[in-house]
Amino acid sequence: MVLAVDGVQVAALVDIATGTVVRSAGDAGPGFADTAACVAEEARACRAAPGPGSPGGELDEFSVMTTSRIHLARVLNGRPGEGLVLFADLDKARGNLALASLRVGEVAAAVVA
Amino acid sequence: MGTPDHHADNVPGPLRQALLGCAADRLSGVLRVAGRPGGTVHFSDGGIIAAETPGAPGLEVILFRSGRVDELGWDAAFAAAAATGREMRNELIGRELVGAGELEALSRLAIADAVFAMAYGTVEDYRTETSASAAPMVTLEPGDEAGWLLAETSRRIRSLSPFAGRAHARIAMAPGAVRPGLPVSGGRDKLAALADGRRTPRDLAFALGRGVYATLLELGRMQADGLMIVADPGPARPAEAAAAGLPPAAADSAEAIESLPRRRRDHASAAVRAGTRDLPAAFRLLRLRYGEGTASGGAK
Repeated sequence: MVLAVDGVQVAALVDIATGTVVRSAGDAGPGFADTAACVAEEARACRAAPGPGSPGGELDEFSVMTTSRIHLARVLNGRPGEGLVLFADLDKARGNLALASLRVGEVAAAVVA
Repeated sequence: MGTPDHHADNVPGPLRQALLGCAADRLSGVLRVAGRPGGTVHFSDGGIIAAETPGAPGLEVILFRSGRVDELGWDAAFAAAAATGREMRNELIGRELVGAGELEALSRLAIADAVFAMAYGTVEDYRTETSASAAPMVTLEPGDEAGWLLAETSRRIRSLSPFAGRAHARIAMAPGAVRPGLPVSGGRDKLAALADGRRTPRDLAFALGRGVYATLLELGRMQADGLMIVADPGPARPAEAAAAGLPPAAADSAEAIESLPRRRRDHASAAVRAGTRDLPAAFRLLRLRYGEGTASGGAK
C-alpha cells in the first residue's frame, strides 16, 4: 500500500525501542537496517522535542529532507513498548511531501491491523 | 563445536552455522542450542517460527506482562484454542486482542531478542531434532529467514558494544537522579521504579515484559545521562574471557545468566513424558502467570 504512493522506493515498519525492521517492502539496500535504526533514534529525539508533558500532543509524524530524498516517518502510537514507525523513503524528484503524508497517514492503521 | 569463537560480525560461529544449516536443509523441527543461556529455535520448512531462551522473555511474557493482552482475554483465547485445536495466534487475532500485523511484529521482535540473548552469551554445542516437539503457543507464519536474523543479531551486538554497563550488573538509580520535573517518559519511569540495586537488566526485561536488547539499550542511555549507576558489577573475569577469546561483553553476559534464576525444565519434560500435547502449553501458561524464574515482584 505504501509503495503505491508516488515516489516511495522503500517502506518499512520499524520498532522504535530496538531499531529493528519488522517488515519492509521495496528495494532496500544493504545499509537499510542501519538507516532504520537511525529513524528509530530520530523518533525518540522528536518525541522529547515538545518538552515535558508534550503540551502539543503526542508525536504523530516527522520528516527529514535532503537534496535528493524525503524520509517520512509516521508514528503508530499505542503499540507495545515504545511503538512502531511506518517509514517511507521517497525520491524527492518524484514525490510530494504533503501528498505522501496524507496517503501514508491513510494506510498506517491498516499496516498493523 | 564448544569453541566460543565469534565471527567479525560478533555472532558466535556455531550459532551462525547451525541457523544457516537448518535453513538450507529446510528443517521442520527444533534446533537446540547448548550454552549460556542457550535456547531452542523452532523451524518450519526452514523458516524460524519461534525461539525460546532462559535469557530473554518470550512472546507470551511480552504480550502478558506488558499488558498488551489482558488476563481475561488471554484465558478465554487459551481455553478456546485448547478446546478447538485452533492456533492461539488465530484466537488472539480473531478476538481482536491484538492485530495480525502487530502480532507479526511482536513475534519477529521476540525471536530476534531470543537469538540475540543466545548470541550475546556463549554457544557450546547444538543439535537438531526433526521429531514433533511442543512448539510455543504463538508462532510466526511464515517463519523468518536465518540470514535476516543473523544480520539483525550482528547489528544489535555492534550497537551495544559502546555500552559500559554489563548484562549481569545490578542496576540502581544514581543518587539524586530522581527529582521533581525530571522527564522520565519512554519507559524510563518503569525502569527507575524497579532498578533497586538488586536486579539485572534481564530481571528488568522479564518484569516489564520488554526485550533484553531494548532494556540494555535504554539502560545504556540512562547511564550516559547520569541517571543510572551500576550498583554491583559482579565478579569480573577478564582473564578468563581473554583466555577464551571472547569479547568482554559476551563473557560477562554468560556469567550473568549463569548466576540468575532459570526456568526449570523438569515441568515440560514431565509433560512430554506423559505423552500429552496440551500440557506443555499449560505449564508455560502457569510459569508465565506465577513468574517462575523471573523477577516479578522482586525475585532478587
